[in-house]
Amino acid sequence: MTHPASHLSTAEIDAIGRQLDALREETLAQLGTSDARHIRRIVRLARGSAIAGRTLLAFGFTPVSFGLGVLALSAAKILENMEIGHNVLHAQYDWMNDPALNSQTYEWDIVCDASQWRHYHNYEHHTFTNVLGKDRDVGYGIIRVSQEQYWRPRHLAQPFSNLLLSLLFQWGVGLHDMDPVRVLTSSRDDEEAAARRAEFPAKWRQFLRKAGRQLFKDYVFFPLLTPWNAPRVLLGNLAANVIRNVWTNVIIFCGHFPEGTQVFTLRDLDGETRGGWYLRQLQGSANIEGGSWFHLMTGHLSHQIEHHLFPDLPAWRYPQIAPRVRELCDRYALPYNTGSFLEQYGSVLARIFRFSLPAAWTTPLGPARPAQA
Amino acid sequence: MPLLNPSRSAAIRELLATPWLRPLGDPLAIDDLLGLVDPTWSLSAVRARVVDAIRETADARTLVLRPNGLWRGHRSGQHVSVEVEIGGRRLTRSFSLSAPPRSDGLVRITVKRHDGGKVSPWWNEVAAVGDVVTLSQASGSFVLPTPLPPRIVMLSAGSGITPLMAMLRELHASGAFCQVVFVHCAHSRADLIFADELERVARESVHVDLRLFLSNEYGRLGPRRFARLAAEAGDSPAFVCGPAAFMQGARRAWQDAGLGAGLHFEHFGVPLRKPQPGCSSVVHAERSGKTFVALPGQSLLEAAEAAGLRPPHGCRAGVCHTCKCRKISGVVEDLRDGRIAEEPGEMIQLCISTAHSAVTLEL
Repeated sequence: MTHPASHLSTAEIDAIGRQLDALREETLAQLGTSDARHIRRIVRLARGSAIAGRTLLAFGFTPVSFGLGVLALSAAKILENMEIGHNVLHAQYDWMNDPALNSQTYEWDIVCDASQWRHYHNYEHHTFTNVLGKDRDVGYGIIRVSQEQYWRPRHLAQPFSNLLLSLLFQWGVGLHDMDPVRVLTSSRDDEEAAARRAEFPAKWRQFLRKAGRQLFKDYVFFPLLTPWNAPRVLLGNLAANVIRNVWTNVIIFCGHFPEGTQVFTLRDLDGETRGGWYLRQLQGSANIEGGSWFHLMTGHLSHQIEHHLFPDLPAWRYPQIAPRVRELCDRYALPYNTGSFLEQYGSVLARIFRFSLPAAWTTPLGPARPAQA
Repeated sequence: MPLLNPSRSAAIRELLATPWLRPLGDPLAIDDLLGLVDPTWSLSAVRARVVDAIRETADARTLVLRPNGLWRGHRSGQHVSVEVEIGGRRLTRSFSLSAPPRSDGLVRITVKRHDGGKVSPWWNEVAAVGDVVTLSQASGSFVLPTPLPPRIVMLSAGSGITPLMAMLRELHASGAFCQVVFVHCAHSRADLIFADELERVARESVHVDLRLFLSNEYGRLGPRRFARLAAEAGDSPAFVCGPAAFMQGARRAWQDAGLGAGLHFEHFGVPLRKPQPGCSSVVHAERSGKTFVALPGQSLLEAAEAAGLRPPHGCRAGVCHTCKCRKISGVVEDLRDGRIAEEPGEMIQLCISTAHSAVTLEL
């Protein structure tokens, strides 16, 4: 397959790698008090929002306070999962040496165990980004998001399964590292599945422990704290979890599935240099445009391109370096995939519908990919 | 309000640390919230507020600290780990306490400025009354013997005076019947920390025999003078604190005189061997108890694997942070960009770090 970067020489790819390395070093050298202040402010904002939301749910009686409570608690969970949890688990704040922000010990407000997340997200997804058969985040094993993936009859239902996945997203994230579908359905001679099967029991117990804690917190502990309002609190917590699920799902799908993002094969990994790795990240990711609050509520995953180039730089720095990355893309005639939220998510939905049909019925969308040389 | 202070009340600490409250927030979150009420409040950490700052010399400064209720006190001569936050980074250094314990709980730490350092310039120029630092509990066996011998020799150079000053102050205040030979070396009179107090104590007390060596006036404390001091000390215990070369001089003189057993040392945090890129380094993996050699330019992950260890790892290229490990001590270089990591207690990625000195890992 031909990629939009096929016009670049090896020397040019190396030069791109060196320039991005220099940008990374330049930003690392700037890290200091302002980054510490930012993340601690967000921690307190999320905590304050959770306290406000839970208080409104526990002590209010009107539908208005219920709605406000749900909103505040959803915002708290979104901030905690995206701007704090995801980014802290990427080791973006390890340099602070603060035990509360340490990638190896942080645990987040979601049913997914942090160590399992670090394995499949930080390692598998960020190392093998968009490589079919290696990066299981391409469609999460459920959804066909590109022409290059095999079509199977179950994909016909994917507009529906996508909706279901978004409503239950934290459970998908929580089970993803174990790959239960593959473990249950694969044949005996599938070596990778055998490896996953071997570690399944331990990871399953880890998952149950984490999920149990989360369920206890939201559906037993907090409802019973104010027994007269128990159903209201339970329902409010459920609503907040669902809102967080849908929002994180939608934002994350905008990261790698909009039209124009590339997928790769194992052959592309052969002899890949650091510059080549950067290029793959550039071509496999897409940004969403928006204001500073929007960026914050996405955990700065609205700058998915910058995040994939520099996964361990504090995410709130991405807007600052994005113009430099974009300028570099322009200079080397590389695509820089960005658009409004509606454009990007609309294009994701269009692909989910389109690729639910067999490959023979669809032709590649758009002019993004030049003809085979 | 002080009733609610968890660092004073064990009952409140236990209440806030009960597992039943875990869904409300983990102990670190509770600590952070307590810090909003008062930055010295904590469930587990000794936080200390700077209540006074005393300029000792042009490049040495004493901060007087009031630790919270979790502080368990200290003995003269002991040291603490001090954690301060500078530029968003938490940095830890070991310092001696420069005064004996007091009934009001105040402690003193005197730090000499090191050019190119991070904490010592902060201590000297930036720290202000009201700032809060985090302390470990006091530790170390560099303390006055009990019962007190009739005579003690104290040898120090430069900022090595601080633990000995705590001992001298204690002996002087208690009026103990114990002769002190207090030998101290400094570059010049202007560099002499505690100069006025030392001279006052020497005047007031018949027990204190103060001998100052100012290298710009009478030259260094060389092997001959050390040998004479050792002969004079005889079997009196001797306490030594100073730069590596100074300690070496004392050790040699006392050993030559056959008195090595009576010598007590307090080491500085300064590494004895300068970091050397391009040389093999000894790596100690603390948890597994293994010690192995890392070759020049070899990643610590490869070195550990060659030694039979199996540290968790992923991309082997610095992307995923799966091999993240706490470096307890030592200097390492990032193989990608040459950045040097020399802070004790830092988190490093084994797959892209190569050793420049002896390294101890929490592995």
